[in-house]
Amino acid sequence: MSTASKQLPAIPVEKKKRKYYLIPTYIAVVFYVLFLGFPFIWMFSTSLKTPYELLQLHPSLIPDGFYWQNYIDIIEKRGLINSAKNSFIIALLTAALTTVFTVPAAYAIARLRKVFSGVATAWILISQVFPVSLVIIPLFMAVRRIGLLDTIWGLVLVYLVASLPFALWMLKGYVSSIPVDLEEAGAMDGASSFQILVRIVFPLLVPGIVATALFTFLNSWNEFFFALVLIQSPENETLPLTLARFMGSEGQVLLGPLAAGAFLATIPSLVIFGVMQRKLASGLLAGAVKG
Amino acid sequence: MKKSKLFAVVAAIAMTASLAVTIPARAAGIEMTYLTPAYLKGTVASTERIVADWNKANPNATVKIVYGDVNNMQDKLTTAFAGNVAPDIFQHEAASILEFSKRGYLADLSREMAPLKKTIPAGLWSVGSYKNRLYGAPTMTQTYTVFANVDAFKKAGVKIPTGTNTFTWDDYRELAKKFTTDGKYGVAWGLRSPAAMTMIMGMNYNALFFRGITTVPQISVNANELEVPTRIHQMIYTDKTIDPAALTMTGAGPVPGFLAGKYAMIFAASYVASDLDVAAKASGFNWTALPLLKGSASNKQGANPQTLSVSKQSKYPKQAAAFIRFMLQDANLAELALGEGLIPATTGSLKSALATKKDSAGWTQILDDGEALVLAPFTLVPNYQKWKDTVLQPAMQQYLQGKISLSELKKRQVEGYKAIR
Repeated sequence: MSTASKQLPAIPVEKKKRKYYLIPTYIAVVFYVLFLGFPFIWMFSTSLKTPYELLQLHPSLIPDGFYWQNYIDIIEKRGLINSAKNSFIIALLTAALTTVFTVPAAYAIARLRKVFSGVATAWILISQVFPVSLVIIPLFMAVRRIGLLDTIWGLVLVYLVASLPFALWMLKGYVSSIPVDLEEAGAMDGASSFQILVRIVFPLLVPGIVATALFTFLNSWNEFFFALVLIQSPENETLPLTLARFMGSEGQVLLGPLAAGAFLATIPSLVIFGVMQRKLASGLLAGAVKG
Repeated sequence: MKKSKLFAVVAAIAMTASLAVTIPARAAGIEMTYLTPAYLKGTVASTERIVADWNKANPNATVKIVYGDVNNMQDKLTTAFAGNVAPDIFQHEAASILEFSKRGYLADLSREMAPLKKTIPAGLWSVGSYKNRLYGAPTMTQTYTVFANVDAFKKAGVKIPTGTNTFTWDDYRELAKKFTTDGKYGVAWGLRSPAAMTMIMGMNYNALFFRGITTVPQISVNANELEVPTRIHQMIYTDKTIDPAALTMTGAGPVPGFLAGKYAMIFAASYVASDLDVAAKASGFNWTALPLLKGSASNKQGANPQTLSVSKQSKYPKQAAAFIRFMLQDANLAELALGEGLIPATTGSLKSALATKKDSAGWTQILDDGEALVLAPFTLVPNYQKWKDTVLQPAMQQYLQGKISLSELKKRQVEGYKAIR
């Protein structure tokens, strides 16, 4: 105790020195955050401007007033809330189902003998080489034949199929980064294969699963083309479809409502990222170690 | 373990939430779908009002509006036709429905629309037709025109050109020179996507681009076809009267500069009149439209009107055609067209629109210009859209940006068409 108190005076000096050197870092971070956040701030500012303000040659960051009509229009007349609800349900279901299917598949591929693993991953890669324009009509026909055209479940199915290869590829990297020794230790202690998967592998895989689920969620949240083709009814529209309707031909744009819609559409992604960013960052790094 | 439980809960919530998605109840009688790319606030309101009126008057043959994205209508319709789930009625543009007409996807409206034929200019009627059958009833269209800042003209003591068939490309060039002073450009011209505009304006000089359209089309790019791009190029680089900053702007891009008094004139499609109206209302901005530009041949412009079509897959073609006739009623069409800043196609709706806008010199001029719209023969050429978008567009952009010569522009147009045939 006495030794510790004797060493204390040295600490403030070191702290002061640290703070001094950190000032430029903090300034840089503030500028960086402003730089990154500026489009978002500008979007919010645009969403509060009147049509006339939006025609100004030199638009200002601060709007003349708070023109909430853009928000009222998109919510009351363009069904933005319903579209957001649809997008949320679809993205959540896709992320959940992708996770359910991907975890065991990724585990199996990562732990398979090398030759089988290679064949499986190559097969997954092949499924990614076909351009969307090539598959869209057969896919449309298939979805129609199974009676899921213009339904949320149809879109979930398509997104699930589209997401699985990359999610599998991504998660396989995370599984590979978990030492096999841990599983062998579990086996020696008498755990069954299922217990090993659930009690040892799964907890270590959580960051990777979060990263994969977030990736899938955001891809589904933002996806436009499949939704454009497969959804026919306004009540089943997703957010990107609703937002696209604020854009006309020859570069015409309803800037105020579009900015209001885009601002609201960004919030869920920001919230989810805010909540899960640590898991995401650690997950991404963990997966990067092994391929 | 807690984390795995969390995922289980999330998955359960997702499953439960999905069950909350309602399936719409079927309406009594028949229900037709109407796919429209309407997106402007006024047009959406008008469309909903018209459809509500129809549904009230026809409770056994109601219409349900489906909004489409104007920039992806072709993809949406192509897949819908392929999957046999096409909307009963849809709004699209004449040049784009041609392919659907050829493939037999559309119902022949000739007989159903016959009562309206004499009210629609022959040029517009023929644009919606294929092999003498009407597949797209023309509704509204745009012209390309010069908009002028009236106060700037007054201040400079320059008389504003008026009338019809009076304002030539040479006059325009001289006007642009008059207003180019002290580092200020007389004109702004959004030239990011110049292909369609240069072809449509080329009709002023009898530019055809293709010969043998009804037999075996052959591309033909000569002096007439190159006249309009040459003139624009001269205004940019020889006269220096067009602001080069506008070269990469969209058609409506120069409007803010125009409103701020940066330019005395802008060249744009007639739809920018709606933006100018907003400014006129908010700040008293005084604008007008000049007469259509006239070349050595005429002041004619190629028309590519919005059209209403009935899908051949529709089970209710007669009711769908009746709905189109309802949409084309004078008051309805005038309201829709003015909301979009476009010229309504029928003579009755044009009169109605003129009566509504009688106090606006600019609008009166725009609405009068509808008579100059004719069928652009090149729109009938197979692969025209593909050639325009993939060959002409980049070549024209590069020429107007001063990156390639006129002879190179011609070469690319000709060889590009041969390559995609």
